[in-house]
Amino acid sequence: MTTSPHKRALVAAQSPVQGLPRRQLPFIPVFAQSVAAVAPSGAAAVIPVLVIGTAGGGGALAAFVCAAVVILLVSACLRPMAQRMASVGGIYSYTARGLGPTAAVPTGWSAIVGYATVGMAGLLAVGTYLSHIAVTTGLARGTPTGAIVAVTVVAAVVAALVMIRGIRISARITLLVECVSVGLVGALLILLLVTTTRTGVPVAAAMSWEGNAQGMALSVIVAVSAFVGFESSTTLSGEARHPFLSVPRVIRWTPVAAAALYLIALPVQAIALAEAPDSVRESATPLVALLVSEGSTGLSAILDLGIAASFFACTLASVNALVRVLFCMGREGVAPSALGRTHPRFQTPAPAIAASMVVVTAVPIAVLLASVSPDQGLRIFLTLSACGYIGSYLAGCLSAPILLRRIGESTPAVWVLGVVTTVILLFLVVNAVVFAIQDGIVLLAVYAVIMAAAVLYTLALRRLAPHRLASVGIYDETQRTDLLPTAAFQ
Amino acid sequence: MSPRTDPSRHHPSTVSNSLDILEVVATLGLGVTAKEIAGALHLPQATAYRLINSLVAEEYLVRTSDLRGFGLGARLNGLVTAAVSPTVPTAARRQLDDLRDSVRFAVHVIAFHNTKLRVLDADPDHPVRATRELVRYLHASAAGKLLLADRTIWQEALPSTPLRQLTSATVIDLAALDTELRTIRDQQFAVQVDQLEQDLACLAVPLRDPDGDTAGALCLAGPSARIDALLRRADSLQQCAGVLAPLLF
Repeated sequence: MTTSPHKRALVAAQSPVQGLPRRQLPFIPVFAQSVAAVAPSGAAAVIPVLVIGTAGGGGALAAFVCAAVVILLVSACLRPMAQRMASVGGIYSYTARGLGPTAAVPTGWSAIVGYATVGMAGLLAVGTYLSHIAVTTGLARGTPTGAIVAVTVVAAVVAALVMIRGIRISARITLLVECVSVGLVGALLILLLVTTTRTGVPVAAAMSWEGNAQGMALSVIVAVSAFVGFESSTTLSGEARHPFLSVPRVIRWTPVAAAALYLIALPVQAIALAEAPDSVRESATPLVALLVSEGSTGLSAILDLGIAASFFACTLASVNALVRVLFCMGREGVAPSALGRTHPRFQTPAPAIAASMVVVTAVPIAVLLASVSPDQGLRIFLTLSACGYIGSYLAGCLSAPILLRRIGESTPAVWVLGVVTTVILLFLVVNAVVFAIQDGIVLLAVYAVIMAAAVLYTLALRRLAPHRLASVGIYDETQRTDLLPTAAFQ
Repeated sequence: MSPRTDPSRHHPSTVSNSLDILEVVATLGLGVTAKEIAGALHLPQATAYRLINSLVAEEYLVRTSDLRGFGLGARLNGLVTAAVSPTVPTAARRQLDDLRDSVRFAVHVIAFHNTKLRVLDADPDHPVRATRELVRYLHASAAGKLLLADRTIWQEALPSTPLRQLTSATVIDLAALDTELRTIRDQQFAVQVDQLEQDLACLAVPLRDPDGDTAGALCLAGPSARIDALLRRADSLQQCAGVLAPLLF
C-alpha cells in the first residue's frame, strides 16, 4: 500500500467548527429543521393556488409531480455528500470541496439570499396573517401597516431569543408549531372537501389544463419553490447525533412528505376555487378568502393562525440554516471573524444570529414602510428566495460528482445523476428567466446584482487574501476521540 | 487475508462483506482508501462504496480529514475491549495487595475507555457492588464523576435523556453536577455517598497516564456510615495512585 504524502494530519486534534455542540441532536429535531424550512402547511395553502391560476387543476397537478421529481433528483445529488461530510455550511461547504472555494463563496451567498429572503417572507407573513385575524373575526376593518410592523418586530425578537437559546429548543418549537399547523391546514382541507362535494361542484375542475409548454415549465419552477428548504438540515450535520445516517434520511423523506401533502391539497383547492367568486380567486390568500366568503370566520381565523405558525417555524428554520453558513464563513475568514464566534453558555452562533435577524427584520419593515402591500412583499421575497435556493442547488448538484471524484469514490451513476439534474435545473431556470424578462425583471436584476457583488468579492479575495479563500470548506472533521484507540494513538 | 478466494463461500452476505471491510481497515491501517478496500476484497467498487458508507453512517468506520481515507471508529471500542481480558502487571498487583492489606475497605481499580468505565481489577475479598449501575451511570459513581471531571465538555459523555435518579441522593441536576465536577477538579478526588446504591460510599482518585490524562480510577468502597474514615484516606490513596498509575498505564 502506498501512502500519499499528506499535507496535514489524517484526523484533526480539534474540530475547526468547535464551539457548536457536537453530535448531540437526535433525529426528530433534524427532521423538524428540514420540514419547517419547507413550511409545507403554509406552502400548501398559498402556492398551489398560484399554479392553479395559470395552469388549471390538472396542469397544476402535473407541475407539482414534475417539481417533486426535480427536487428528488436534487436530493439524490446532495445525499452522497451528506453521507460523507459533516458539513456545517450545507451546500456551501459541499461546493467548496467539489467545485472549489472560488465557486463556493458565491454559492454560499446564493444560499444566504435564499434563507434570508424566506426568513423575511416568513416574518412578513406572521405579521400579515396574525393581524389579519382581527379583520376576519370582524374586530377591525383593515390592517394598518403599523400593526403589521409591530407584530413582525415582536415575532423577530422571539425568534432571535429562541435561536440564541439553542438549536434543541428552536427545533422543538419548530416541530410543535409545524405539527399544529399541518394538522390545522389538513383538517380545514378535509372540511373544504366535504362542503364542496356536498354542494355538488363539478370535479372536472381538478382535471382542467390551461396554458402552453413554456407556461408549464414556469409552473414547475413555482411548484419547486414549494419544496425549497428541504436541504437545510445539512447545516446541522455537525450537531446531529448520527449525521451520516440522519441527514441523508431527512433530505430523502422531507420532499416525499411535502409532495404527499401538496398532491392532496391541490385537487381540493382546485375544486373549491372553481366555483368561487372572482374576488376570492384574486385575493392573495384565496383559501382564507374562500372560507370568509362562505361565512366561516372562526375557521378562517384558525387557518390564519395555522399559516402564521407555519411561517414562524419557517423563519426559525431558515435563519438557523443561514447563521450556520455565516458562522462557517466567519470561521474561515471570508466573513467578519465575529460571526464565527459562539455563545459560551448556549453554544449557538449568537453573533451571527443577532446580525442576520437585524437584517431579516429590517428589510421587510422597510419594504412595508415604502408602502408596498404585504402581498407584493411576500411575492418579492419568495421569488428572490427561489432564485437563491435554485442557484445553490445548481452548484450543489454539479459538485456531487466532482467531490466524489476528488475523494476517489465516483461512480458512473453519480455522474449521470449530477449532469441530468443540472441540465434540468438549468432548463427550468433559463425558461423562467426568459419568461420573467417581461414580468419580474427588477427582482432578477436584484438577484443578479447580489450575485455579481459576491463574485467580485470572491475575485478580490483571490487576489488580496488567497489564504482566506483557501481555508474555505471547513466542516466537522473526524477527531481523535472518534477513532478506535489503537496502539498508534495511545 | 482474502476470504474471497475461499471456495466454500460462494455468496458472501452483506454482513460478512461488512465485517471483511472492517478487517481490511484494521489490517491496512488508518488512511486506507475506498478503492484500496474494494481492491483488497475483490468487491465491485459500487458495492464496496455502498457498504463502506453504511459502516460510516453507523460510525463503525470514520473518514479521515481529507475525506479519502478510513479508520476504525470508536464505536468498535466496546467490541474490542470486551474481547480482550484486562491484565494487571505483577508489579501493580503487588502494590494493590499491599494497599488491600492496609485498609478495611474494598479496593477496586477502574479503567476508562473513552466514556466507558471498566472494572480492571476487583477486590478479591469484597465483590464490586452495583456493577451494572457503575458502568451505566457515570453521574452517580465516584469513578464516573472523575471521568466526567477530566473532560471540558463533560455533557457529551452523558446520555441526552434526563439523568437517571438511582437513589434519593443521586445528583441529576446538570448545574449541581457541574459545581461538583469543579470541586473534584480542585481537590483531585471524587466521592459518592448513597448515590449509586443505598448504604454504599466510595472515594475515587485519578490514575493518570504519562500525558496527564485520567486513564482510570483507584477506588475505596465501604458502608455509608464510614464516609469520614474513607475521606481521611484521600491523601494516602492519592499517593498510592501516583505509584500505581505508571505500572498500569
